[in-house]
Amino acid sequence: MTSKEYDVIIVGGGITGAATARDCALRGLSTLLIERGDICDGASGRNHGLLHSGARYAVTDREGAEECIRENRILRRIASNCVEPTEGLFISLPEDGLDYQANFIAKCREAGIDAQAIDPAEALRLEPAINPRIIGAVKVPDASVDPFRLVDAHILDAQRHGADIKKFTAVACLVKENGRVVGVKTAAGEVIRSREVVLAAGIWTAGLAREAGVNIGMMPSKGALVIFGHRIANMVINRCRKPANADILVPGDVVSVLGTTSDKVPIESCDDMRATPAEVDLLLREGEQLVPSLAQTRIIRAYAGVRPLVVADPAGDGRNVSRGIVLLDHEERDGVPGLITITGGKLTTSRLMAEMATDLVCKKVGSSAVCRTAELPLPGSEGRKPSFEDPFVERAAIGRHGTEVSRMDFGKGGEILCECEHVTRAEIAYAVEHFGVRNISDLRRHTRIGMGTCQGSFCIRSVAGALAEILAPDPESAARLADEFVSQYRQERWKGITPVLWGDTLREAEYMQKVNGNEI
Amino acid sequence: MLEGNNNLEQCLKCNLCTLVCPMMEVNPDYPGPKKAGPDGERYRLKDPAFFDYALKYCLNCKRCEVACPSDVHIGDMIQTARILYGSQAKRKGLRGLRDWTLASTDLVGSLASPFAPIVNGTLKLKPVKSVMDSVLAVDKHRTFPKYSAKKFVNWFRRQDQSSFSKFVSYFHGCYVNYNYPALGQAFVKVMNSAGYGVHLLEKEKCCGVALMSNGFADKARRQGEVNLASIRKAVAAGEVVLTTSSTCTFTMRDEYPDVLGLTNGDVRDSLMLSTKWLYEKISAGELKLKFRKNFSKKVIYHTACHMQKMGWQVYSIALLNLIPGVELTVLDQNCCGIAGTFGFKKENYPFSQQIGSKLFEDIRRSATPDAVVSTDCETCKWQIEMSTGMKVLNPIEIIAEALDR
Amino acid sequence: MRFDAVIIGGGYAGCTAAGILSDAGMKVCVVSEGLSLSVSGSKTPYAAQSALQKRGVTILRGDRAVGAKVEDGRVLGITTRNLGPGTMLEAPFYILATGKFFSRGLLSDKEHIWEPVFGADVEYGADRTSWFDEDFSAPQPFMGFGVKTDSSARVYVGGKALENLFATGDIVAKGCKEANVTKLIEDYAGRE
Repeated sequence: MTSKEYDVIIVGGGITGAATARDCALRGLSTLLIERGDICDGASGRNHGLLHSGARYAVTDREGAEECIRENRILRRIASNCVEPTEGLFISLPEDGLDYQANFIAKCREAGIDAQAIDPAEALRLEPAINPRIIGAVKVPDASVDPFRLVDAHILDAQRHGADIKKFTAVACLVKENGRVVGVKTAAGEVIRSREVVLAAGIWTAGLAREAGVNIGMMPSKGALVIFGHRIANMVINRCRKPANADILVPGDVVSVLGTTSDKVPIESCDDMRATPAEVDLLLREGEQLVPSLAQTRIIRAYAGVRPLVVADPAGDGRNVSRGIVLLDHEERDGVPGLITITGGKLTTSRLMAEMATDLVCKKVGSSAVCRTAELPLPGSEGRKPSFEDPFVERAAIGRHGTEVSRMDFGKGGEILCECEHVTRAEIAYAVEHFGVRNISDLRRHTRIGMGTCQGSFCIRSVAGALAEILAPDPESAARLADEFVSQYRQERWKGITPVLWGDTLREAEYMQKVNGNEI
Repeated sequence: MLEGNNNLEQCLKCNLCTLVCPMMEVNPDYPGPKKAGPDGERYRLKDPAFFDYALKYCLNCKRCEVACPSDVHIGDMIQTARILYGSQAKRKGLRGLRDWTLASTDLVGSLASPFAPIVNGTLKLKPVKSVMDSVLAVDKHRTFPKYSAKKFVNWFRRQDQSSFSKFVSYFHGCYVNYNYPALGQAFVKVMNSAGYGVHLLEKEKCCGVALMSNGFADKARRQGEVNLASIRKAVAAGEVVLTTSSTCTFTMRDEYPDVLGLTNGDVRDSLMLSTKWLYEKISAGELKLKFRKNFSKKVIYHTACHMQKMGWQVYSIALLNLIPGVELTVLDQNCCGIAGTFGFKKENYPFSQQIGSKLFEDIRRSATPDAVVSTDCETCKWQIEMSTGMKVLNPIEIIAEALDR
Repeated sequence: MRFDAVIIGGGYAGCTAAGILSDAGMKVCVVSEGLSLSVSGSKTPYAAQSALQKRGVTILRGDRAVGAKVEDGRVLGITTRNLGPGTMLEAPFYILATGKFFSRGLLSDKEHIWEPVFGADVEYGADRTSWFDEDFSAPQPFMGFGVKTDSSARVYVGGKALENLFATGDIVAKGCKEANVTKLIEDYAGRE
């Protein structure tokens, strides 16, 4: 079984793969993105949603900091709808001292980051929730970015420029002929050929490469995070000290995200990442130093992602780890032509990573097309944001999809189904049409359905019903499908609820059990 | 968001509030307490532009808070949002003037009182009503509460209270002062016969409830400060501050801290409805009321929304039950629909009457020609009198009438 | 305020008990904080409360028991948030029917679970990781947590069952006895 030959196949539907697919498509390459699950199912959907200004890295990694601030400015422009220009604060507590702050400001400025020391009283006026014990604060151009929306926007743009997207298609192995990688073989046995294959599968890259005889030393680093039910602060709150656990609180849409931890974990655990009660306790202990009211704030859930860290010297002991962008030309490095790896990096620098990878692809396939991703706005961020005054458009949908709301029929589907996140029938129909949504977890990633305070306990039945109605051929199978969606969804959410099962979350859990008909 | 009010995350989205909201039943434009309250608040915290003008339909009846199993201050959240984001600046022109007129109960009251016969006559005239209807958008079906020719405070000044050794302070409210001095007179009679003299507060302003619901929070806060200062003086002098209006009481005890951010914890327990105070004194054996033997009255009690929120209807009901010869029927709690100045606005009149219809029906079913309705709220009184033609009395008036002299 | 019985909790369990007691001619008070979810998404709890009210049951709707006066192993009265310290609800016996977590009959933090009105003894797992099962549809241990009662459904406080405090409904720990209301009528009728 063979199909058409692409210029490039990109393996991995996270932000790196999506951005690379977009860049390749914009440069006129015939492009296929292949993803084993849904778009944004891995680390891209399990992070802070922080658009770094680079300040966090200014002291330890000048190059990384400079990359961040450059990309920060670009993403604010091209992805204006995914980025909320919240700005950020780095606060110093008495135990942190002010020495670090002085050096921090100097290093930020060297990297071109506008870091302004402000009076602690002014900081408290800006953000009344922060720890009143602060002795110093620095304002930096951090921002909040919606990772789901950012990935989606890249996918849409790639598609609209001719790229093919294959979701739910696992790559079984790379296909090699005469020592050259010439394509991929899917789990279903289909061979798809291409001139170049780009591995952008995060922590799962190493396994694929190994099959092709290429050794990439990767070290999975687990990061656990906790989501709070509403916006506690409107700016990103960081601790002004050497980066450590739980020292960043990010406002994301209508919630707040606290994180993260950093622990080396075995690669086998990466397919089922979950935060543990112990990690949650640690995050809260530290987070309360940042914002004391976190102790009384409702926690919605906890989750964890894996950073794909690359060990520069695979034979080494793992201490020489880079958090920077890693672009590997396997032809040069390992004598395996046709294969490129792009990994490491951050959500913030994903566009740059894609540019670097695409530059290399172009070089290999002999294209001289130039990168335009820094200038062209992404879908949803083109032109003026739709007006809030329009009574026929759901405002929350504007926040999520920007100009894309023009493709949603609120006249027909204005009814709100997910009440926490104000998701309408129209938005669900849009997600099915444009993102090939197959099940309720996909739907969640593309709409925020059930991601609010109730975690779907109230709305999930009507949402599942509405989705099944679109997907199923007849009412009978729709009812069956809806039931399947409900239990699928409950189980998936439960994973994130159990580590935080006390207080109001325990109350919600009892409610959820009763609504679901699970009695003792 | 005002301090101490930010408990939106306790909302478990169970929607029990939605089930009991009277506005939800009649007005599809109103998003309902859950969406207007905690759901909307999450978005308003992100961006005030998420404020929805349909929040103006909230009656502030607090039935949502009574139903909430999570103790979320849903009504407060909606009130606060209206104050913070739905500023009056957006409602200019004549409607702004109307809202101001309806809200400024004491100022308009003191302007009107000296001209009461003229004002009352004018307000009753058909042409005047239709002018108000079309120009000011005050609904023409509304009967304006009559302005009394003689203010309560002027009557009170001539009452000699010097023979008493124990005193209570009285917060009479705008309604007693300008529209219905008879209730204040009944209060004085009851207190005097219980052995207590009555003092008025050194300075009393309108409690501010109408100002708040019409968006004039700053003015309400200033008036609240004046009232609290006077209440503190009375409490410092060892007096309890009593009222005869459930809404004024609720506003000063609960809305002051929860919506206006005023601290009242030091005097809150000393400020109460007179029926609560009387009942507690009587059950503690510290006070006795002597009733006429030949008294007889059929009373239908309606629990006002704010009364239910405070949970104090038990006192008024218990007191009425103490009167020999009172045959008492307690109605199911249903909102009468007026919600203070809400029902006076033309755009709200149909909703107001639709909401109240269940209560009116209940009253008609229980009514006999000799029956009176009793409630602790003056705006419920207007609404029920206008809508059912029944006479409505405050429990204190019935007690006063039943006293043995 | 004196009654023949005071019931704390106006959900399914509390209303059922109130109905049986008032049918037996007892003067009953129910403290009901918020609506109950026993019948989710319906107005049934309000309808039940209204029906009880018509039969003369005093329902303190939207009110919460905040304190209890306990002496020599007996409850002497309870106070509520709305009525304040000036009014004590008194009766020969009391029924605790405040439900589990949702209705806040039980409160919890990261380490503890407690009953807020009487500080009753609660049965629950010592370690938070033992409160749940990873499988959502499996029986969840926390659904069995509740107050400990003796063979007559008397509630334990500090290891001793209070003489006149009985529990019923969801608040009772799995395996513990729930109040037999008919038996309570026999035991308490004619007293006072």
